Amino acid sequence: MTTAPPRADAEALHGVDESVNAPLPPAPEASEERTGLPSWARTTGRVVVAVVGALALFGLITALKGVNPFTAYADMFGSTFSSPSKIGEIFVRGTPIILAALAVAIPARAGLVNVGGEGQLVIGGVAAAGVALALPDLPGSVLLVLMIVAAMVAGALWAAVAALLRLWVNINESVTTLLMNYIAVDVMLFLIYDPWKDKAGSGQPATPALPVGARLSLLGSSRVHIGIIIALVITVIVALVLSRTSWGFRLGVVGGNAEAARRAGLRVGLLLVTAMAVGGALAGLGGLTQLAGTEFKLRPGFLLGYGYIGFLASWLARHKPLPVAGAALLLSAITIGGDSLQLDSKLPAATVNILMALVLLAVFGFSASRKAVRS
Amino acid sequence: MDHDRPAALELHGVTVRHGRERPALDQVDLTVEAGELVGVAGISGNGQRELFEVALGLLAPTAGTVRITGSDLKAGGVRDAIARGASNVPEDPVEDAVVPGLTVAEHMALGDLGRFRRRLGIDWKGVRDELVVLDEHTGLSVAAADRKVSTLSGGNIQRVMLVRALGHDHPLVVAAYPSRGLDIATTRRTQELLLEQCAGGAGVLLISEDLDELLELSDRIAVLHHGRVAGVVTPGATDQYEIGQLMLNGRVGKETAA
Repeated sequence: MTTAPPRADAEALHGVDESVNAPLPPAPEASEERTGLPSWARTTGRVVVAVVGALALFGLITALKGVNPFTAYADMFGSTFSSPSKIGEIFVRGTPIILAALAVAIPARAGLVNVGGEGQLVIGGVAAAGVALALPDLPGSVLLVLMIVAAMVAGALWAAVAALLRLWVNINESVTTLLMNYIAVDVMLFLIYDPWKDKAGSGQPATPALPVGARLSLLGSSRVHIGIIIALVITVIVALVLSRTSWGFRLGVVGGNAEAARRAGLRVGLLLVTAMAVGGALAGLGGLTQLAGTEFKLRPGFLLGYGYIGFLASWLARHKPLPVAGAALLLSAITIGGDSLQLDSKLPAATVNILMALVLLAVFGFSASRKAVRS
Repeated sequence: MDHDRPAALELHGVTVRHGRERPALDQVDLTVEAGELVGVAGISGNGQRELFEVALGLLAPTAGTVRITGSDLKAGGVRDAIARGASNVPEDPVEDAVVPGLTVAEHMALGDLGRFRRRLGIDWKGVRDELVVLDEHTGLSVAAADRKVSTLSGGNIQRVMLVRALGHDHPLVVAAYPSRGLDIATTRRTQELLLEQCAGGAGVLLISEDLDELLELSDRIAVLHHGRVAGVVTPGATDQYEIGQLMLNGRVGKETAA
């Protein structure tokens, strides 16, 4: 073996001139650190400014339609917060939205785009309803547990299909999850129009109502059911799992640089599938809460696009679990306010979608413009 | 070098073919004994990247076998290679090793995640404590544990990679251009660390474009030309001119018109 080179002086090593090192692009944090504000304050400030901007723009649109925007907003606010029962409705609608949003946030940690929350909600509801129809004689509480398991397994499998297609045939999961939404809805419609239709019902396409014992408990005398507690607890658990566990860490590595993950020996494929499956399981659970907590039967209007609203909520909060739950409840409130746009302001039902889209685009636009300035 | 122990790395008839193109590696036979430093010279694009990846199980050869410490690499080779203690310094850390948003400590954990896992979580205190120890041991003055690696300069990113790869003794180290982007003092320290790995019993495969470095550190130098090992030379018995001819023409002697 050749002679080792003379050991370098330790002091020389510690006083290294870094000027020869090629500098990387400036750190994103560097410019933000100069503001002196903590990260959460900057994020909250950005969201507030964006939401206010979106509300102003939406006000212009209502004005163009001949509706006084201040009156419209007052009606929206009034209809949403005028009574405890209406406030409770935010949580009733928010429950499946929170779970659908988490179904986006978890795969997003691994770099996956899950647009399939709607289908996973539906398929979870379908599986739960199927269990209820197949085992009508079970005690309600046992049936409910089986429905929960069925809903989560169905949601997980439905979502995992998209991840497997990405791994095996390299089809982008955002396309497959989106298309599978239509399949899930069609599966539900097929079932409620024929094999699962309530023969003793009014003739409307719907399954028989769930037995009372298999429904989620209500909180007090309101329509709010225990599903919101479950959703909020799961949000905290997801936040802890993503930030504290090895699985959460590994998902972040895959999402940040899949090649680095592969070279570090991580099972990238397995992580992608499990991330999607866990997300799908939560969306499936969301479908269960909608069935066993609110609707009690499958029917064509079983979901009002909650999967898509959950998608917006997750992106709005940059896939961070606790803010995601807050964004989901905010969007839930906006959908309730949207009813007022239709009833009080006589605007089309789809108008509220414009408001949600504006909020989302404003938040995206705001953060994108800051990045553009940095680069 | 230590012939009593199994060779750190053995490549037998290794061929790597991408589609119908000329093989990136063509029937490569190469052995790195325990305690030996084998340099790899060659003009860029003559199979160095594929050699690096094959040696670490990152790329399955089209033909041939790869053995690390005496055993064939199993399917899913990179995990097998890591489990047997193979370590590496990547050619392009930013592309292949740096995860945006992760800190220095998190990159250290990623380098040996199996060792730092505790039940469902990760022993972050252990990671940080070890970073302090390794920083002192290697003398590379790595950046603070909480700094995000993607915000560091190229040289400081390389230090993180070096501490991670060379801080512990390993049976096999595959290093691609380890001194790229480093100042002179850190380059010297890196070279010392590679030799210390050899002294500790590791086989080191050093891929470099710096012939002075290869001649100074290597026990043998394999020269790659068009994916083949054009020759294996011994530093004391060769010079840059001979290596240059092997790199350019694949053989020593005057080039004749084909």
